[in-house]
Amino acid sequence: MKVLRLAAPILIFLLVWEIISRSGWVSASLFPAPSRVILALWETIRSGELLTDLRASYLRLLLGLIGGSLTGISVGLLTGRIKIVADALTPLIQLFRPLPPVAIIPLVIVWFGIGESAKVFSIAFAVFFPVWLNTHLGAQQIPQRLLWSASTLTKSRLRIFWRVIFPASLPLIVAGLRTGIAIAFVMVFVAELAGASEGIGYEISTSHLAYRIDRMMAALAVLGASGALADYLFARGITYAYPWLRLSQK
Amino acid sequence: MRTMQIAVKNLSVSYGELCVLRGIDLEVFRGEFISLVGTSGSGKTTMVNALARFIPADGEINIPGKVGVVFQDYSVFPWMTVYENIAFGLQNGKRSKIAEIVGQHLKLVGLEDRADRYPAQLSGGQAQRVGIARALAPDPDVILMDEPYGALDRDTRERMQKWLLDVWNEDHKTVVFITHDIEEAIFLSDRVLVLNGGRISGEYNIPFDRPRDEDVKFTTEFIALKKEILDRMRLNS
Repeated sequence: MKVLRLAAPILIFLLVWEIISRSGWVSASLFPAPSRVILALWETIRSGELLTDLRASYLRLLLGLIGGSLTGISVGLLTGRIKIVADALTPLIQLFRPLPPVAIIPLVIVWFGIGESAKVFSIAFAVFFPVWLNTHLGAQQIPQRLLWSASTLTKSRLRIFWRVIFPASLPLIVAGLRTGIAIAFVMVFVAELAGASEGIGYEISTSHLAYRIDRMMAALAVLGASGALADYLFARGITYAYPWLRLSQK
Repeated sequence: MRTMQIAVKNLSVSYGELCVLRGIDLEVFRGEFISLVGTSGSGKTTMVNALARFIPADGEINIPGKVGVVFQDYSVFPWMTVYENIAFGLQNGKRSKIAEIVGQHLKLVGLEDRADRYPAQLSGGQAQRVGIARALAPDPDVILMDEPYGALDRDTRERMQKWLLDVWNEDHKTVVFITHDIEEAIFLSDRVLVLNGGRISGEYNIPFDRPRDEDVKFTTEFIALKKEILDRMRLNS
């Protein structure tokens, strides 16, 4: 029943789209029917292009996400808990934060060229800010009594940092990471528009030049589905790794 | 000869212009259970925070040995299981020794079958017992309890009072118990101190023999003492 409830709106949407596209009310080449998009998708799967593109995009995405997240969490915990670090870094971070991450891509290309490092850096840069901000707020808002309790039980600051401050900040870190994942999907697409020879963004870009709207839509559907799947898997993974998070939210 | 466990001289705490504790002198003997009662804003919580050295204070605080603290809220870590909460303060020592101590304390608080549960899966009373077990496990010399039963319903609260007395009877730790409930203070303590306006305004030795049971609360002597302390609190507020 749950699957049906989730699938029903998508199936109805596809059906209406198919009918409109075939009716002749709209240009079939501009709005290809879902059946044509599925055929185009099958074509890219059979030729092996989709797998190559996905592999390239996922690798960039993963490296950028890991780099941006680890830096964001580490810096966020430090700025959230240590005043001198916050005083030193927060004004700098706040200066860069309002920048739209896509705006730095031309600069990144000048610095790193058009290779992989430029794309990974752009994704990591964009992921860093939401992860840092959420971690910073999470670490700042830990109830004082929780820290006092911990300080009566251990004198090890490292132990308090790892076993108390990190998990206490985790609900907001998770929120930051979910935003980071969504932003990473935007950035991988934008980064692949410039100087890529494979990847989902590159596929969309070349299909556009070849006026293959069906292939563009197929690639967009894959990108969208990948984003949704990544978010779902992340949420499931977090619940599995930290079951208390789900219990505390009840 | 009784040994002094807590010696406080001329303790004062101010938050800016606001003076919360004013020159408090306090002596508590080893193994003594004392309660501090007072109305809201009388300085009870500040007293615990100062004794635990969580906040800066003027005057002398001398508490040799380890101090354990139990709070009303946030006393247990929601991301740790019951077992992990109790084991948190036991990082020094062999794993088997830690498991033994945790096992003893799980038994003491009657939560052997809840060791793998998270605090969100426990009732309020059970969660607070975990907080108390966690404070007791590192074998502190003094336990400070800041309204530990404040968030519990009356029935659970009374069961927890009886349970705490049973636990205390096991090893007679020195306890400083903060509450606004006079009945609770008399039932649990050897001595009750009334805190008002940042000063200790009354001190009462509790004459009831231990072990106590709840019937003592209905004796004329208990009720008279409760009234006397209540009058003292009101007189000063």
